Parts: sequence; structure tokens; C-alpha cells
Amino acid sequence: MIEGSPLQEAVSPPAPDADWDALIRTHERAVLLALFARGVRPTRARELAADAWSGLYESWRHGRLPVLELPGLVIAHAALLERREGRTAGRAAPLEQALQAVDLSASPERRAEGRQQLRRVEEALDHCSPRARELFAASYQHPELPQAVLARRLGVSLQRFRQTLCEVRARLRTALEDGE
Amino acid sequence: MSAHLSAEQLSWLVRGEGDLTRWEPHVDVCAECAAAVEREAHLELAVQALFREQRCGTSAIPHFKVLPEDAPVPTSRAWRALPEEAPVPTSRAWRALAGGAVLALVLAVLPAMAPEPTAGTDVPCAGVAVDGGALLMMAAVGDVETPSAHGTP
Repeated sequence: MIEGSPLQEAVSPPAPDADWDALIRTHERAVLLALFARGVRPTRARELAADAWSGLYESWRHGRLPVLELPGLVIAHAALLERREGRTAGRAAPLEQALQAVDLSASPERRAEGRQQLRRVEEALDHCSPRARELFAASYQHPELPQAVLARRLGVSLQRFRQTLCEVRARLRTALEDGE
Repeated sequence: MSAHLSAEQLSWLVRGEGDLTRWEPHVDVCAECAAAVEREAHLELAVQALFREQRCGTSAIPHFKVLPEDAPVPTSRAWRALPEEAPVPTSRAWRALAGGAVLALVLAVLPAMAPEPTAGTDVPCAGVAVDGGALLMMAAVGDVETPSAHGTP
């Protein structure tokens, strides 16, 4: 777009940096998780995420983004950067693709595979005790709360709470790995 | 740090809990731990999707909050104030909608089955409006005097 053109005037001004910082803080974990699931190692994942945020900000600043879709847009951008690099080509997480709300580019096979993984985890969770499920679910329903607070609210010690999370997670992990 | 990550540390890493910088350098250079982190990330995505599905009826990642083109720049305050996602129609809502439609059909057919009114009697009238599963029936039956154009019957 040409600087100062009438088209650019119709575009909203860039967001203040402080707001972008807040957006990054809010969505950074989801971006890193998506990259981890694609087999990207932590330090490289942080670099890709930073590059993706930077590219997104520049696009927004120049009015090339009529809508801001987060964290989907930054995940897609980071994944594109990662594919260009070619380090983990072909290792896109089927689950991540299958669960995309809008991106229907994933093949039916990929989506079906993702759904199967989801059902395996669900079955394994159903086999846990109701109390274990309650504790485990609480950690996902209130991710903003520290584990100590959750444990106190649910009437268990912090140690017991953590142990239960580990046990449930181990069962789910086994179920997912057995399916693969 | 040379020891491999424990299961608990793996879960902390993918969930962003604890001091990640302690383990990330090790995962960067350890193929075994990197593979474990990848598996753990798959598990985390699955669990998050599962609870999302139980909460709002869809496992789709709520990645996209589409803003209209004339929307203001999403400051963090405006972002928090965005309306919630539209509720996903549940099977109960669909059943209520279907029930309303059937009832409306029956009520529409009933007047046609009723005997023809004789001259001089009042005509029952019924109106039915169905909106989003809620059924509103308005019926007026009885002595309805229709005023004449001249103001006198």
C-alpha cells in the first residue's frame, strides 16, 4: 500500500506497543505449544514466535490486516516460517490441524486422526476416578489460579493435588502413545 | 542440566508453569527430551480441546475473533470487552425449534378443518409467531365487533 494513500487513511492506526505486549503475553503460550507440537525445540520456538509477532505487527501497522485473529494468525505465521526453514517439514501436528476453527486446509485424514486422538484421551479420562477427574478438570477450567489455591478450594493438600494431576496425565499419555 | 526431564517437568514445560529457562537449554540439545516435549504438547492440545469441547460443545481452537473492518484498534481493554462467542445450537434448542414449527403447522391447519362459520357469527382468528424456539400464540376468539367505516355498527 502506498504511504498516505486514501486507502491507508481508512485503516485504523497502529496499536500502541503496550497493547501488543498484552496480546503477546496473553497468547504466547498457545503459540509455543503449537510449535512444540510440531517438533520445534524451545529456543527455536521462541525465535519463531518472536519473528511471527514482529511480522504480524508490521502487517497491522501498514494496514494489511483488516482483521486481527489471535492466536490463530500468529500460529499460522510461525508455522509458515518454520516450514520455510524446512527443519520439521511434514511434521505438522495432526491434532493441531484438526482442531483449527477456521482453517479447513487440513486433509480429512488429518482431521480424522486428530479426532481419534481426542477420543482416546477422553476414554482414558473416563476411566479415572471422579475425584481425580474433578481435580484434573479444575486445573484446566481455572488455569489462571495457582495450584495451591485450587488445592485449597478442592480440599486437598497441594502435594496430593499435584500427585493426582501427574497420575491422570500419565494415564492420558499412555492412552495417546498406545494409539500411535 | 544433564538429566532428562521428568514427566512432571514435561507437563510444566508445555503448560508454561515454573521456571522454563531451567529446562529449555537441555531440551534444545537432547533429542530424547525434545521428542518427549513434542508428545507432551500433543497431549496438552488434546486435553485442552477436550475440556473446550465439554465447556462449549466444540473442540475447535478459539483462535479467531473476527473483528469488523471498522472496528477500533484492539487495545487490551477492548479485547477483554469483546462479546462472547455465539452459543452453539444444542440438540435441545433444535428440538424446541422443530417442536415449535410442528405446533405452528398444526395451528395453521386447524382453522381449515373447522366448520365454516355461519353468517353473522364472529370469526375466530389465531396468529402464531415462532422465533428462535419460543412459541408465541395469540388467539382472539369471541365477540369481536368490527367498527364500520362510519363509526357506527
